[in-house]
Amino acid sequence: MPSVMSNAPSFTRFIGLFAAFVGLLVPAARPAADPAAPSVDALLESSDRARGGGLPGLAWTIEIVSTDEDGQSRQVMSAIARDNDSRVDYTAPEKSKGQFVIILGRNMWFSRPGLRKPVPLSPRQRLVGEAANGDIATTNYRADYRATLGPQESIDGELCQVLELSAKAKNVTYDRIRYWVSLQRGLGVQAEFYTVSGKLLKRARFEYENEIEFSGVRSRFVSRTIISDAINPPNQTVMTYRDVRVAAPDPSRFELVQ
Amino acid sequence: MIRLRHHSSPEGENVGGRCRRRAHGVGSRLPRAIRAALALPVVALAAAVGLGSVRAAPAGPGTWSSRAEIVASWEQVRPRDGSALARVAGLPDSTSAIELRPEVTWEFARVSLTAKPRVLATAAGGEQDVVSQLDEGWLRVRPRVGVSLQAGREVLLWGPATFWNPSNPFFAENNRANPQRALGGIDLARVRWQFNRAWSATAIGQFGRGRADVASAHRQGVKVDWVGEAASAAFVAASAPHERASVHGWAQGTVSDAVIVYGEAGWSEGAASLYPERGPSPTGWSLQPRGGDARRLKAIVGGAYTLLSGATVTVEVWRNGDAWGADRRGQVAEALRALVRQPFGIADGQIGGILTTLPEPYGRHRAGVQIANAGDVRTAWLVRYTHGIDEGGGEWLGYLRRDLSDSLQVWGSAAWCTGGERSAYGLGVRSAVSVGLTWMPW
Repeated sequence: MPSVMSNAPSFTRFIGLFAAFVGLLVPAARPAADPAAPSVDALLESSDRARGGGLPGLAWTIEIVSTDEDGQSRQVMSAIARDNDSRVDYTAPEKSKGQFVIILGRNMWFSRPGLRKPVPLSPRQRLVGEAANGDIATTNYRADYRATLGPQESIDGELCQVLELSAKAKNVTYDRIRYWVSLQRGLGVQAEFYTVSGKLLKRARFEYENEIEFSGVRSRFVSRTIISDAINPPNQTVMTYRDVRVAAPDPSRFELVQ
Repeated sequence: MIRLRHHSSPEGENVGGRCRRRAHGVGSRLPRAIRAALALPVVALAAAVGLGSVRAAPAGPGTWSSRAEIVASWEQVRPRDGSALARVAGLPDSTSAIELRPEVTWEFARVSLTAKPRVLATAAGGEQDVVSQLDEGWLRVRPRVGVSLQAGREVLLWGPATFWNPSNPFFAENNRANPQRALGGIDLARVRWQFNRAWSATAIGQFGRGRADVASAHRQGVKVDWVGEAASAAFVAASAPHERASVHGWAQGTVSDAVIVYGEAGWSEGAASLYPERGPSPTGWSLQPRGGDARRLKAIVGGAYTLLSGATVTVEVWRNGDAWGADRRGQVAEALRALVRQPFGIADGQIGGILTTLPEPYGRHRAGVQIANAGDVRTAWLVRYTHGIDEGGGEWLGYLRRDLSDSLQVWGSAAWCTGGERSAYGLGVRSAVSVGLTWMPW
């Protein structure tokens, strides 16, 4: 596969963080029918809906600020999504402008002005870099993971149902996820991502200050994701989402030759 | 005049290929007097003033977006002793270059306009040169959902392979085999229909060579693309005047979390090459066209494995049915050896004719391996080796790039070529080193 080495910073940052957004943004879902005995399927369905299920498509702007031992960096990108397909165009900083990533199912391509031709990428490359914090979220939990009910725990005073997710297939990014879903709001509040060996890699928290309107119904939308590196706790990535719009993207926008 | 074009590129994927570097005629230039007077200073002036006006968003309907790169580079090339290529191409010891690469796009409703002009100034061997050109520029219209029409100058590349893309009848090179040359676009119009999520079709009509070094100015093609959940593929049919119709295709699949496999193929005529034969000319050799008389298979297969660190190992093997066997390569080597010893004059023209039309790839079978990182946020590296299985020899390449800030990068590369006179890797350059700075002011 062609190299993406000179694009690594932008690409890896994007892949994971964008994935986190797509996968874990949870609209103001209906509260669980019975908070005392929540349905796993209903909770997962709610999570999967956050990936565009029931929506014709999404468009938004993402700002990513990462802090690590080398300092702080910032990126801005505009994105469109349709089901499990997405396209992200980098708009800042200068070194990233003109780059884009297209994800069609498990196919991924990366391109930038000097590269001329989109480069195919393996799913594992989503793991690279701080951006990988959110990679698990790109997975369709309901389809790719077996879920069991865990305990009910409070996160910042909000009662959540813990879902224990284990991979159905070998080719998913992470073998295990712990996912906290608010019983009151039906929103994903926190997630922990583990390696095959059971090692905690990343932890993500989600905030929902945005709103969208679809079919005349307004619902809350993710506004910020804070991702912490469990191995290097000082390393943190904050994603802020703006200008979220429900819109069906033109299919030609996913053309590889652009 | 035959000479090399020195378009240094900081792009990691575009480094290497120096051993096989070919001679090319320089395209449109400013008058010589202006070149000599302005040279490098004009580039700096344009950067400060001219392009600054592009940056500002003009008032009016629609939205403007722009970006720009200013690339300064220095390269030193060490030719082989007695190299034929060095003789006719006049390889300088070192070349300094500065290039402006702005890109401007205007969008309004369903219409967009994009322009990628270039200004390149070089200084080598005591001479200065400035080249200005439009590498790419097009008008795009999306008349309805799923349909796009585009016309203009464009670099139209596809295919998953790194080292060679035989699935593309429009561009023989993918800007990786000969990286020191920035690709210019060809003039074409294309219409694309996206039928559904999985299927799309594109009709392409080329109406000019544009800025590209391509065999034909006119070519038509139809491309059908398919994208699945973990795989994708394309089929291409094309035709050009005085050529048999050709078919091409590629496919790739994500086998696991870390492995991608792929292949590309084309069944097409090759370009005619000038083959040396002993003849009654002042040099004792005459050039006869060979090849390009039948469709032959060109194919490449490969795979990539992503390590846990994020680095990716890529391995590819390819066959060029149009390439020459040992007998012809031996004849070429003998002719070049004889011609290089002759006085300047006719021999140089014959050497240039041979070298500029050699089949590419030269040997029928080749293999390449590459490892490149994708995990370091600010530092990128690449190591690549390309080997001529039939012809022997190969090319080692190393590349390193470091981000100094959000808008400034420093980079460098080094290449080392091995191979005898029957190998393309032994024809011209022994080694090359380049370093540079890329500044992206906006």
